[in-house]
Amino acid sequence: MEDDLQIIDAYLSGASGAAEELVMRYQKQIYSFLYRMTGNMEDAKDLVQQTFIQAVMNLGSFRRESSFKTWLYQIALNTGRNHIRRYRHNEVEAEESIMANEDGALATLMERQTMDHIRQGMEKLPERQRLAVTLRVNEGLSCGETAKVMGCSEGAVKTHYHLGVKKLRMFLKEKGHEIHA
Amino acid sequence: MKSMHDEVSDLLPEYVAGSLSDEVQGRVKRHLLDCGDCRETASLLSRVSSPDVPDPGEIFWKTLPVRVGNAVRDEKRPWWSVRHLLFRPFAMAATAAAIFVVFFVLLKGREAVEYEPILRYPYTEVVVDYSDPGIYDIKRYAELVIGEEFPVTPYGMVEDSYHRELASLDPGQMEHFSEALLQEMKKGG
Repeated sequence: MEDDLQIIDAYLSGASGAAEELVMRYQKQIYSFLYRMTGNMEDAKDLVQQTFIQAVMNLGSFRRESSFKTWLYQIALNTGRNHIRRYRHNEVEAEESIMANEDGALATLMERQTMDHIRQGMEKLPERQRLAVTLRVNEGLSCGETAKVMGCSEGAVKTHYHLGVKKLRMFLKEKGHEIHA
Repeated sequence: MKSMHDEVSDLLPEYVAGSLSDEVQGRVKRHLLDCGDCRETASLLSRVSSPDVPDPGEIFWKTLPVRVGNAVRDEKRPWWSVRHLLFRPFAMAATAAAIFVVFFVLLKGREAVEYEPILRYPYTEVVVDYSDPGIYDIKRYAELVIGEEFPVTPYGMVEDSYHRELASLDPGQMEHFSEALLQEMKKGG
């Protein structure tokens, strides 16, 4: 299987289908990341398309100092941030959207309540802490990759991540949830 | 030096995702047996990472690469290409308007140049050349005779059978017709 850089080279030399191959590789991860940022499926669908168009259009300026995946997450992060700045949804709308997307038949009432409180807790975190937790835990990025996406040091990522997790645990305790292994 | 607890708490996201090597995974697992704090964090992280993202559906995943590919190709196409214009209605409308204006100006300019009537005022003209009257001459002649603007375009006059008949008169008949009209006018007809 070709690695990302080979596909990028193929795209830059005019090979057809190379851009589509890159999209297929990362579309689910980027969509999931943008959904967690916006809390809205339709917004995430639009933003994932915008992210990939922007990434492919600027492949020529990709300096290869970090991995393509990290670079792509940076573009997704900026696209998501711009969107949130422009069209900030009120919390009620976001919550309704999440509730509407849940599969109520499978989740127990208690579990659903816990998950709702986890989402609320995540939303209450300062942006850098929420990003560190999302990129490390949801997106499975390493500390180094997260640092590159966020444009800070690995030490700063660890600080943001640990503070975020600590606040999230405190928030859940306040809501009466005991998280047991 | 980093303690075992700090080391494990940094690795918990990878532990929950199952992306650590077997050896490190085992080490973390052993620490979790003794450390309630890390156990609680691991439990929370497994919930945070659980898939609560709604799936937009197979059609979306299949069409997204194609849509991105097409959008990028369209962006890179030169602005004057037909397909580029088709996807930009405003640009296309502006281009069409510009073409229309250019044609209109050219046509009007040509008509203005062509308007050189050979017939002048028939009553004062010593010599009138009726040999090659154009459509503008017929209208002008008619306007001079009736003394007011003729309410048809030169092309309309030619289309009209009456004016076509007038235009078909030879120079002698035209002179005669002019004389007859003059007499009618004198009589107040």
